[in-house]
Amino acid sequence: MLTLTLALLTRPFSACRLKPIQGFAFTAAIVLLIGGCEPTQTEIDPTTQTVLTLKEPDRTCLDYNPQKNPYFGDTHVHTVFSLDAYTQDTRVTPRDAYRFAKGHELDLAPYDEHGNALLTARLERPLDFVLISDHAEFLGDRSLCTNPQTTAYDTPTCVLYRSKNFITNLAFNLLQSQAQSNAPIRMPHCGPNGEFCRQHAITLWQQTQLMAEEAYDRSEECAFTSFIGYEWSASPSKNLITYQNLHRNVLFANAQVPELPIGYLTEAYPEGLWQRLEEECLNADFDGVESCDVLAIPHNSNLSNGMMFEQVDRNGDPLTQAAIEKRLALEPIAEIIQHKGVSECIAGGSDEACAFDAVPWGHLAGNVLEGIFPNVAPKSESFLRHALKQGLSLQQNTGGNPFKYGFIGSTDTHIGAPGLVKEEGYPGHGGAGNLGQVAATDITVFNDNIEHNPGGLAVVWAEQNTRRDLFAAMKRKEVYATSGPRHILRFFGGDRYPEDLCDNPEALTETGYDQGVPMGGDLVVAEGRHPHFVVSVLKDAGTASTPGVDLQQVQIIKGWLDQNNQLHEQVLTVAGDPDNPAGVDLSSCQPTGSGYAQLCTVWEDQHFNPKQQAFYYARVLENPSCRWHTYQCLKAQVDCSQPTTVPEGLQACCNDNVSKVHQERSWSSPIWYTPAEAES
Amino acid sequence: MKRSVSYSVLVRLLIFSGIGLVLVGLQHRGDNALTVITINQVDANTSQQSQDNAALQPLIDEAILFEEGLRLGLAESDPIVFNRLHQNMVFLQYGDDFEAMYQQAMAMGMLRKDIVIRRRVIQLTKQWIRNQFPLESEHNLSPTDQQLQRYIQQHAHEFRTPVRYSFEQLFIDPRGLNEKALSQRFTTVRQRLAQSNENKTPALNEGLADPTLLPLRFRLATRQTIQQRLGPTFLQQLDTGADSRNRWQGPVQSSYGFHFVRIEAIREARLPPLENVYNRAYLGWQQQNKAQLLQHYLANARQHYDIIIEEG
Repeated sequence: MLTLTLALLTRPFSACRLKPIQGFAFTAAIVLLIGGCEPTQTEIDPTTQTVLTLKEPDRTCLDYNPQKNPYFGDTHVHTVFSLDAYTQDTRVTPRDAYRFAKGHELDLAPYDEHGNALLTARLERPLDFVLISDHAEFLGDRSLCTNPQTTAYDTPTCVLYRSKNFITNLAFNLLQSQAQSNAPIRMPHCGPNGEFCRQHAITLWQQTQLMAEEAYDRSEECAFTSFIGYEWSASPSKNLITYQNLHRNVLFANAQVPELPIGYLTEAYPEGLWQRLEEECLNADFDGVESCDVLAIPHNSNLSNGMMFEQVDRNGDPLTQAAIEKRLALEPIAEIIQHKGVSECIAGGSDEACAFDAVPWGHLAGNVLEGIFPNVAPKSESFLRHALKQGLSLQQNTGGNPFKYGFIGSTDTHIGAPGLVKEEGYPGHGGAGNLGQVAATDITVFNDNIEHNPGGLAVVWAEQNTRRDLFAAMKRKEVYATSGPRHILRFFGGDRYPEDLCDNPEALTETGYDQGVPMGGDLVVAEGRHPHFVVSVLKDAGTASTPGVDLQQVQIIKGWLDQNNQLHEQVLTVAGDPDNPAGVDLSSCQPTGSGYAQLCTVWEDQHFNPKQQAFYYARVLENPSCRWHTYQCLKAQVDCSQPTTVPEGLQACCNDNVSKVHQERSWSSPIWYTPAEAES
Repeated sequence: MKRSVSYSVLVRLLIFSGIGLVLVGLQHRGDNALTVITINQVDANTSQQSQDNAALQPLIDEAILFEEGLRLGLAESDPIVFNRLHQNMVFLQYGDDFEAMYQQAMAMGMLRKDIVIRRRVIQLTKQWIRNQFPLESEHNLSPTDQQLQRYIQQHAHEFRTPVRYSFEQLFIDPRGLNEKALSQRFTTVRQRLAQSNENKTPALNEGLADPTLLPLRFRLATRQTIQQRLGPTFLQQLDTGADSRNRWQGPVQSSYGFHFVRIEAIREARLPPLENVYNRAYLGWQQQNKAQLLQHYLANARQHYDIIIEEG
């Protein structure tokens, strides 16, 4: 025993290895620690490897529908595994988050000295699927610095990590923001070459996979789907004042995943991320058990300071055809809404609806640095509508369009509460580092930055609720986003839909597919014909505590490139009534007036020019309803007629520049039209 | 008045009684040493609630795990403990004479004084506990099928399949109809449905129902799906009429209007066979047993310690 111990101790740290057993990637969870390495919290039983079947099963679910069902989910969820969730005293594990998504109660911070949660939450309507997307960065640090058994535990940086305060977040993110520099700084507690942190990151990645497996329903019930993934959180800053958000959520198609998440500290550019995903997933050899497939979902482009959709590569050179194709293949969908704002279109233009939940700063730390440095205003280049239009130009000039994005919504919750999108009682998702949950026990302060919102949902049209079917739908962009309501939105494009199709709803879906393409598709228009679009939407059916709000209108947003290479956009109301007098009684947040329970129309683009590229997407607006903060103002009984009684933390209740109401909505993924001459 | 309180916990190892469960009992044979562990105020996170034994329980558990680890000799062969001792004792120039260094460190009480070593020993003890149970044990982390089936039954609320309904619906749009007109409409529909062939849904073009974007037929829909598509009121009324199969009922109110409904089948909730939920059950069982395993061990180990809490 003694000899063995000494022999092991003579090994340099670089000799430490975590040995994944060959075979299915999940079995990388089965690791062997060699002495001298930092102890990890691995508690994975070796027999797990041989016992569990992780290949995606061939099955027909009980609710299989060849014309597809809408499945509601959240693909942006942080738990205690993420630094910026941990520093807010979030204690929710991925396992807890999955249980919450399935309808179980969830404990939330703050906690008393006995560790009892002072807040709880429960979804009135469970979700169908969830991606837990903890940050790849500092993943190992979480395990290393919170495990008292590690020798790194008492290092100053680990002590800082555990101090759970604003400085922790700031310090780690400042360091991270320099990842693109020539000599990025590494945290000393990570050991030589960051090996300690790497080992521990593997451990938490294994636990992430285990908990996803535990949550996944592989039976014919298909009641719930978990996805394995993480967030690549690139936030470069050259001046330490402006932090460009280039974040992507990486979502794997099945349990076949690489050994370790790719973080910003190891791949500092999107091209590097795509390259590594190709090498370590798409092109990797997993012993032929099942192939790895993956997609990346950019989000918060509104906070990218114009960088998310740049048309040059990291060296400033024009995008190559290969780069365009790689991005197009790996990034089919983008997150259009989450709790840190909406990324559809810039506020202040002719489209008034773009003001919805728009944040007034244009980069990731805008809320933190506001008042310290001059505000960096949002740029139009940061928004998806701009990117969709620029994509048409790129298609014209290069023969490829890297910006053919479908739309989803999610929460980006940092309290481990996927799908918690209800306005009333919103506890704050904490993504800006705010201790919103603490505020939730004190009604005299807001639970989140007033500019933030409870986030949205991702909706996927798939035949059944399995990883395989949902992933395929995401790849083909047959998805849509909502700001929270559970609208049922269909959107088809073709060139011969009958005008009275909505009178025969039974035939709508079948005709929609047979004679055209669904949302996310590419439209083919026969010579001499015009595009027709069928859009149908049902209002949110509501819950016992929150009835669904009636619909106001359906809009179609068209963007196109004319023959002079000029880009245009147009917003058209195609159904409903934008002038309906519905409103909200602000003394109770009860709706006044009525709207539509369902809307359906067939719209023909009579100005269609077959030589011009175009895209079309549908936007559905509800009647007005109260914003989350208005509910909180009501609960605190704020009386704006007596300004001196208004608590300092609730001043926004009486600020006329902060709208008390808003219009919840849905966005379909676009349908594109590309004339043959513009094809590559 | 807020009191400044410090506590010490005296953990006295009792003479092995022979009554404890097998594992702890086997490991405690012959031990009768007295061990004193002091827990300072910071570690105890004391407050006014600190007199609550529940608040002290984690500290007691840690103390027991530490003592158990030392008694089992787990520190003696551990490279991390060696590293730490080596760092602490380097000034004595023991070189690689581990045995001499270890004995000297023990004599100096260093194992007990060093917080890193303490934490490491506690971890080693936890790992040791997990490794002690034979495959056929109740607490082994590789469950048998029987154990998993029992786990499923014990967690039926997690594993029970959802109730599923198959039904047809005809939609009546109330917009533009006053109460009387709506009532007449219901009467007409009811009469027509009573006359119709039970096995045939009247076609929309017969003018009986109004167009709707809702599915006319729901197949094996869960309550979650029904509530999401039609609203909570519809679901409640569906429950009320669940006993009437293959017969048109209504009107049933939803979030969109009114419906006449014919329930074709109800697939009752049931516990699934193990093979359908094997991975979930396996991992859930394993997770549960990891926690239980430690508690099981500690519960037995506590019987062999005399725990005295002194207010200082």
